[in-house]
Amino acid sequence: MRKTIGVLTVVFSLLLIMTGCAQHKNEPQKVSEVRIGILQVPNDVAAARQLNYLSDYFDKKNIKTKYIIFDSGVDANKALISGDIDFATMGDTNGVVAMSSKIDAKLIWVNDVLGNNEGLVVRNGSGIKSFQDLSGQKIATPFVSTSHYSLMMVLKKYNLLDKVSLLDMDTQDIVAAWNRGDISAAYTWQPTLTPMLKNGHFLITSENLRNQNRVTANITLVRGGFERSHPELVKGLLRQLNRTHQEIQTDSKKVITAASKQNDLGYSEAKSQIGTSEWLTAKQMVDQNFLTETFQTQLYITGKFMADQQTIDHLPTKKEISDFVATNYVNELGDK
Amino acid sequence: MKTRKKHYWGITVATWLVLLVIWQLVTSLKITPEILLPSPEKVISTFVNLSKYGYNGIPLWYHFMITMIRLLSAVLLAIITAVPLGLISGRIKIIYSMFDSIIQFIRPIPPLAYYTLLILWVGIGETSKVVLLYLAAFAPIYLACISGVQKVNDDYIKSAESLGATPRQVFFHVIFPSALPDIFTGIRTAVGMAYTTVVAAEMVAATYGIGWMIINASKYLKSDVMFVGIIILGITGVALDQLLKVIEKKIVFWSGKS
Repeated sequence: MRKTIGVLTVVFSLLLIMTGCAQHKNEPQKVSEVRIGILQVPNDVAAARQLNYLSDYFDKKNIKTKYIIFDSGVDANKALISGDIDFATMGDTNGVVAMSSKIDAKLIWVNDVLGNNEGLVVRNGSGIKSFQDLSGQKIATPFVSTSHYSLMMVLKKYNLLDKVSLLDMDTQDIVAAWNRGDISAAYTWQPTLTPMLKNGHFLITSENLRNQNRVTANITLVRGGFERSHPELVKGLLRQLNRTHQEIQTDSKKVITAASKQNDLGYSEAKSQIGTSEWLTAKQMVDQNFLTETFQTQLYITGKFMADQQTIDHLPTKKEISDFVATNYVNELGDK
Repeated sequence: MKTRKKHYWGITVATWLVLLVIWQLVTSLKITPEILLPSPEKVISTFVNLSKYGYNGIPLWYHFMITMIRLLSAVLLAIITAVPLGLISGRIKIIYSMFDSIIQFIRPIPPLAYYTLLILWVGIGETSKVVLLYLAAFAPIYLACISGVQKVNDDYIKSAESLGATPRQVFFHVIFPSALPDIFTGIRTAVGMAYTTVVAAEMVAATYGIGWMIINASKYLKSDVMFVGIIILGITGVALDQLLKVIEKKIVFWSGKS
């Protein structure tokens, strides 16, 4: 008898633990801390952080701001699921993964449309002169990133998908492998491109792809629970980010200096790392129907490509995409 | 006695059944989101799909084989090097003083801590993976050999010597067989150590392997594939250990009966 009780106790405590996993949905009414997942790149979040736009805004509401660095959106997605962060900046491909696996999160902002701050670098003297020369080569890229997606598109275009071996590496590992001579080609982003371009050159950049109507971008997701209970904070945060987007067009020096300081870079370094990426203001997004149409079409193309490659388990429908993209915040900001 | 044994075996089975029922219940009642805990049916159908179509264009059995080859070649390499070195260290003080401190120093370091260094040294290919597993497997075998040799009853050695056995004969006919049970324990621990390191070894720049499959699936948030991979690793781990136990019983049949 005692044994049975023991077993039952174990079973019920297990059940409790498992239901416990699902209990973090209840949002507190009062927020004491906003947790933002960031990429270590000179972008709008870095500038807004350095210029104290974000902390000033949240301080007024007695909210602390905490920044957590992620190498790419892969781990940021996991942190969104577990509820450890409220906002996360990531490549749009990670956004598509989040959407297709039905994470409770919404796309609220496009931080930058990628230009030559991402690209395919090949080593000087490696004999790779055209795309066809890539055949038989090892190419490194962080999987699931916008770089990975762009690389796959290039490889598909030149019928090279089965002819190269792709290596999944973090950005720092790519630089190490490059320095060792293990790889002669990699599709990656800044700041890792800078050291590689010293003895390498671009074969193609995401700016070229953008001109071929294959747009990749960095985006910001908000955790669903947070967005539902505190829409005013979401809007407040985006207003601060939008400020940097407005100022980079009027006073680029101020914004780039701030972004460079935040990442311990020199001004010219940060300027070249930002390169030709575009920071659209909310107004520009509204005027160009960017978030409501253009970008959703690009997400659909990305989703279709990833579903064809079986990297996501189904093709996201246009309805899923329009549910995933919360356009109301940008619309409100852009109308002013 | 026999009925009791059966009884306990039943409890093990019952525990697993209860766990399965809870798993089924929790998922069919949708207590947790599917991304955190996929249902048993989903995991089974994913397994069937993976067996049919492979993962990332590579058949599942190939992923499995490559992981096993990495593991077994590392363990084999460890046996070939650690057994002689361990036996000699147990016998000859000079050799012991030379190697023991080095191995004691490396032993407690988590393999992941020096993995990045290994990659810098030997590159991202198979070598770095096998070397990592090899380092994980080396120490347990080496230490078991030393303790095996030191445990040998001095009377046996003395009687053999008094009967005119050469040092060589003493080593191969007295010391080695006496240490064999310990060597086997060491090998079993080593396989366990290498096995727990296998996912880590496949984390960087791999393109196949069960460990890589789990890591890759986690990047795409495919928790069903992760479950399949983890279950495969779990079952294989148990099977490997049982297999070693059987071999041990065959070879050192006298163990524990002296």
